[in-house]
Amino acid sequence: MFETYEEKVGKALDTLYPGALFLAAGDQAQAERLVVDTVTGALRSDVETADISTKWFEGQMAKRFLERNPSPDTIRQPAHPSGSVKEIDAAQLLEGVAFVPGWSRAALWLVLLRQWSYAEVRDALDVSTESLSEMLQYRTMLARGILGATGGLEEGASAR
Amino acid sequence: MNHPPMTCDEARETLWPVRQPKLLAGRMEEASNHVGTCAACRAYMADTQALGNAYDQLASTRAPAALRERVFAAIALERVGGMTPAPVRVRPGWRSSVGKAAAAATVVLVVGSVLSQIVPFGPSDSGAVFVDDYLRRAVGQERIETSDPGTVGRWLARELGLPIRPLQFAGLELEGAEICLLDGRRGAMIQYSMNGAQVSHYLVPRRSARERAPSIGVESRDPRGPMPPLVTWSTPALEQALVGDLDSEQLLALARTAY
Repeated sequence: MFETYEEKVGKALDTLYPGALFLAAGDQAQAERLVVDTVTGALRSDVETADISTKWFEGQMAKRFLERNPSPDTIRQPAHPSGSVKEIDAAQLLEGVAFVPGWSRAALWLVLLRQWSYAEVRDALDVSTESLSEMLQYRTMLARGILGATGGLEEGASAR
Repeated sequence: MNHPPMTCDEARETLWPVRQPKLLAGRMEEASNHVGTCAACRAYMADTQALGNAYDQLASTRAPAALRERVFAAIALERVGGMTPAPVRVRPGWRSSVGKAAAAATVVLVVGSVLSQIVPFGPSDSGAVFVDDYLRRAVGQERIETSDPGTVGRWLARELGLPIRPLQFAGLELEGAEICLLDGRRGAMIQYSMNGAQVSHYLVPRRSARERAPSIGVESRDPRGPMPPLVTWSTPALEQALVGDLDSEQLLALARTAY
């Protein structure tokens, strides 16, 4: 059955919103702006409505977020008490992602949490394999940010 | 054929994604064995699993209703080229006048089976879809009261993302519009009056709609008694119907102005 663009958006929102929260490190206002900009921007694309899926919207949102964070930036030192990886909850996940440069969050979201293949992420974000690998290196920083470990980077140092 | 010992990267890639690892030429067992003997890989897989579990919690967060409204309003604005929609005014009095119309048996309850004969919404049992819409109106959601066709048109463009112009016909007075839910599809109902009789114009976006000239609906039996006259038709992307307290020929004449 044919679905309108609005119907497809309606179905995708509950997937996009948590993803936007991750990308925005829990900043609800930023997350909502990202979702709104994604679905209105996607409307201007030349993709046929029939070819649009929730996964396609995810790729659009990740790419839009990456375009707003085009390069690695300075990150701060994780400052949370240490704990077991197994005790991570959603709130800790959002706190941890704040320690990860915005530039790498889209890749981390799609690969680690949405379980996309490397090839799919590379195509969706339109980045090279080398750039993608570099972005995914921040997986360790994400985990350490959650756990409160020092991670090896001094305050004020540029992310690699 | 003997492979060289599997590296950590190879093992992790083989066992990816963690929850549904892909089969890779029989090396799954080898990868699992590697992880079993490699502390770094075990920690990596455990971290990844934990991150995924935490994200599952986050993923249960539903998009707030206010965000949904913003999204659809933004889409509609994008479709009309950024024109600022007229402010929506809602007058409580309209609800009571609709209630009066219902009491006078000019309300828009139509047996679902009647429409299903004419409008291919899909199977529906005895009017349940219309009861659903009636209940939505009863709680007063998503409506506008105005006699200005331009305001109604812009409001519907915002809500449905389609350019819709209210009917114009001598003696037909526009009263407002509401969003309705018919057979699970989001549509609109534009309310008119004509010489004191209430007329409702239903519009449901449906790309697969075959263009069909207005025709009078087939009468059907209903335990509640005779049903109001019904005319249905389809224009590209829209299934449409007129229901009201006019005779069928009058409804047909109105429908033909929109076809």
